[in-house]
Amino acid sequence: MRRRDDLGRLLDRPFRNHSKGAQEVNLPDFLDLFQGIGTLVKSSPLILISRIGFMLLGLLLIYLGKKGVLEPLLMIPMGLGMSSVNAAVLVLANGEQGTLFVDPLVTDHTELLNLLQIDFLQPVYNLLFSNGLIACFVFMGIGVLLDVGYVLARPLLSMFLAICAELGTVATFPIAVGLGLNFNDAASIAMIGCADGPMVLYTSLMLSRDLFVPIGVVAYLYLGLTYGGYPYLIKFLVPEKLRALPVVEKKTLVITSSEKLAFAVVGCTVLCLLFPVAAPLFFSLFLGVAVREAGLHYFVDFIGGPLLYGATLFLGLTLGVLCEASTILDPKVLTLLVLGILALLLSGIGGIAGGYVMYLVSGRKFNPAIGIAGVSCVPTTAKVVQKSVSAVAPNVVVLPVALGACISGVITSAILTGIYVTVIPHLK
Amino acid sequence: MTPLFAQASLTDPSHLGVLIGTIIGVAALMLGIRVLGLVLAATHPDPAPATSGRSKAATTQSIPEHHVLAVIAAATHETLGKPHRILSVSPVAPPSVESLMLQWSMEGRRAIYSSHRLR
Repeated sequence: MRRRDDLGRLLDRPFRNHSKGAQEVNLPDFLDLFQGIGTLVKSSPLILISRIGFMLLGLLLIYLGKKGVLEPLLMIPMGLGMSSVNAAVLVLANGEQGTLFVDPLVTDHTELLNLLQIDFLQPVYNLLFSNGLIACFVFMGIGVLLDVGYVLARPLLSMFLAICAELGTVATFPIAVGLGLNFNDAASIAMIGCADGPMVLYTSLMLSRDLFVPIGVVAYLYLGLTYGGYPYLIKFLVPEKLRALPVVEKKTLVITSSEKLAFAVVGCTVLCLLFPVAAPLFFSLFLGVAVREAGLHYFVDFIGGPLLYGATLFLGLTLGVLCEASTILDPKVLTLLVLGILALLLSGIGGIAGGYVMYLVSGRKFNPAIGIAGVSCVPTTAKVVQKSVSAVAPNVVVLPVALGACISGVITSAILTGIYVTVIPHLK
Repeated sequence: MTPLFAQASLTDPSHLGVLIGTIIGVAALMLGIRVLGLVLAATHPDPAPATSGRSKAATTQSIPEHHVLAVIAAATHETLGKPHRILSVSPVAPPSVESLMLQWSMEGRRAIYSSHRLR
């Protein structure tokens, strides 16, 4: 662990040869002055390649975010953070390499107090990130955006599809154990199957603190695949004829805001009772729902606006700066990359399989493509389903049913988070 | 091979076996669902869903074009009440996903705001 006493000592080193004069500057002096380049040159080949790779990856993420291929709200701060932090490595007072962004691995309290006054994102990391608060802020924002009326209009259908779409979250766990991960790491990476960033962050912070940086980065990188990859999965698994099936019209069920509020209060209380370890997540989600349904407009505007988008900005930024090569490189990263994509794939397959079950149960009237909306990347998966359906049947609107499944997916993901966080520590 | 990948647990022979088995299993599952989908599509009792866009388009195409134009001209005359010249006729574009999302969002806000007294 690196040690630094104060910023003054930290900044002494770059100018230690300053008295030699400009005319005497040689290559080592140049590398001391421009330490980003200097540390790059002096790094081991693996770190050198990784740093350059992460800088380029950061630029790629910004490009893909700008183009709309990946979520720009996350990818632009994340990409900029990733490229900047890997460029801005310098030599610290004790001769080790580091940055002035954040040190996620610090454990000593005295050292942490020093770092809070040096690394500019250290306060954000320690006060918002390492305790899961930022995930809870995002969850409050999601709660404000959710209309549980879609779930309550078709509760059994929505919950069934959401449970099927957790196939990746459940099935990836034993596969990860089979690939050599311990139970905690396996559960954390399996949570990528629910395609819900805050859940993955919360689980990995609770169970797998040493690996939460690579798991979080892998999770948020892969979440873009739901938008880019799931349409191809739908096309492959659901023939065009079935994709064009319309939603069977039924009498519109009017759900009042009081009923939605009651659902939020009872649901939150019961889930907190069952899974106290995940209570912050449940509380945050249902707080957002309760505020919305209680009609507290000022709170709705605050949580759904500045809080949600502020948290999203710092989430992307912090995840980006945590991608410093020496921090994120771990022998398990390759395994995490494979398992992350496997979890998302299995969840998509499970959702569509659930859609086929509903197709058969409903007397062959249900559009099986809707099943993939049970993957809780709200509202992305619902939009993906609508787009896939619109491509073959422009006048068919499946969005309300898909949103119901999607919102149920958020709730089932929170429940699975609670189960993992509660049960896994007891497994030996 | 770099040290990173040399240490990765995927290179362990037993882990590699699990990985290959998983890939084969997932591929088999996907193929199974695809075959099931194709069979179900082939045996679907309603080959041309009545409300799908394609069937509507087909229905519209079966009506002679000049009949459609006559109906549009009559409706225009009846609505506007004096002679008009119809310069062009174009089909209504289906709603985009974004516009649908906006409608749901607006409907949700309307429902919230209309269900409470202002404070």
